[in-house]
Amino acid sequence: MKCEACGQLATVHQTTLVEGQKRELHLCRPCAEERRLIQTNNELNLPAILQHVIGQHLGPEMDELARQRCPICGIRFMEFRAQGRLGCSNDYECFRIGLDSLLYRIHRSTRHTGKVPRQGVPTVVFEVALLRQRLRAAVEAEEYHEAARLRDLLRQREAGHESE
Amino acid sequence: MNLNNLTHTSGEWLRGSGPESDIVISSRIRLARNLAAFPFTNRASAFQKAEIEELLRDRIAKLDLSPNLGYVKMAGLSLLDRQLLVERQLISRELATAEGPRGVALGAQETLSVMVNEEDHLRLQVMRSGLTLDTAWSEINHIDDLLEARVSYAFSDEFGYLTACPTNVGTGMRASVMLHLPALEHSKHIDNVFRALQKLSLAVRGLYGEGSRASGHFYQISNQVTLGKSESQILSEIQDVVPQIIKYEREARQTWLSENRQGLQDKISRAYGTLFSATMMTSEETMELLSYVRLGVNLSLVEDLSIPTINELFIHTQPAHLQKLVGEPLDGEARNAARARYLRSRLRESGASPN
Repeated sequence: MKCEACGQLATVHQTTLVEGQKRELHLCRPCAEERRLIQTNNELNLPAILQHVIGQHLGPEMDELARQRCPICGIRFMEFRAQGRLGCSNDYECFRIGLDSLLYRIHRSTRHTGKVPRQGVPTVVFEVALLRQRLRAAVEAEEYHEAARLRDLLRQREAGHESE
Repeated sequence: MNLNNLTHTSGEWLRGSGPESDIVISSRIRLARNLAAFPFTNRASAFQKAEIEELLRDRIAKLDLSPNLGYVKMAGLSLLDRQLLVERQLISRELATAEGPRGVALGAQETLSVMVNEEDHLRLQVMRSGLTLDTAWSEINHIDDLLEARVSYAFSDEFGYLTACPTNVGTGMRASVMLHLPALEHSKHIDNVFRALQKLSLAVRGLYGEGSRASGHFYQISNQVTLGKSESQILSEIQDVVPQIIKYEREARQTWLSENRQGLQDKISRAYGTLFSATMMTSEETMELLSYVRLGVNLSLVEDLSIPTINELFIHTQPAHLQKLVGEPLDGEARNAARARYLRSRLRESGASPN
């Protein structure tokens, strides 16, 4: 069936009853989005941008990068590419090569110049993340004594930034 | 927190006051923040999300704010109540429909909302009536400072506030103003405005954000870039351009008046007459007609209605609001009939009398 607006293949079908009369509407996805019959999830279409950027700027390095996995959250760069969402804050470090060109394309910059938390915690970010990773490993290995110690350490880290 | 109370009011952003409020409906700033110690929401287990929610809920409750924020868990809300919060722009569609532990902390005035476990662990939002980005920024910056003292944010010197989506990294800030631009749309000059905004890396969206069309001639203008510019730079880029758009819209209104006063008057009167007497109304048509009546009030072509009343009708005729007001779930046709009934009675109550 063809889209009533543009003639492409219709994939969205709507039936409405107006004054007892059945009315059918057949549209392709873009036309349906335009009419707000269905939602566009991601206006920027990040996966598409990502595919483009990576293909364009990285070429041969791509294979290696795509296979790379974040040791903290376990996400692969490929998965990020497909979903458009990173898994944890460590990914910014871990996938740096892939992200730099992407960030530049989105923002025309790769360097933050805005607000900085007064606490000034940049190094703690990764330290805490690493602690969590070790905690998970300890639990998996059933080393509960070590796990308890790491858990307390983590709690201290978190509490260290509280004013109370 | 009782959501039923919300149904009978229209919220701060529809108050119809503040600078330039004939054209600027509201100003909004949103900050995305994450906790350093947890994976981002999309990668967190249900258990971790529960931990995040508990921790943030506790920290938010301890903020030194008066009155304090009320926390609402999504799991405890019906679909209708979630939809109500979306229509009031207090939560995103994503928060309403996502899975796992998540919720929102709301201020009594509906100017502040803090979403927990949305795409990022924290989404702070401040919304105000009229062109008031500066006020909104000082309010949200203050809340952010208070929270920052109680949790450790994911932050790096190089990339700033780290977010699940690279389009938000850096300041994590999205500032937007919602404009009512019926005359620019009528004159088709709106396309020139879009092109100019695009060159400035500013995004234009419809009333309900991403992917929504500009129904009711409402347009949201927001920054696209979050990295490499400071918050004040981003805000001033928007503040520089908005007065120009306001000026274009005012000029377009005057041109419309001088070139075709009768045609414009007729369009507005027909819109008013239809709202006043139709027996079936879709949400889309209501928005369109109310938009013309709103324009009529601003041009003194309609004299017996106030902007706050019209603004309230915009929100009360949205599907979830309408069903709450009527007190029963309604589908399709029944909803359109109820909407028309509601419009007729509200317009009569407020003393309206279309010529």
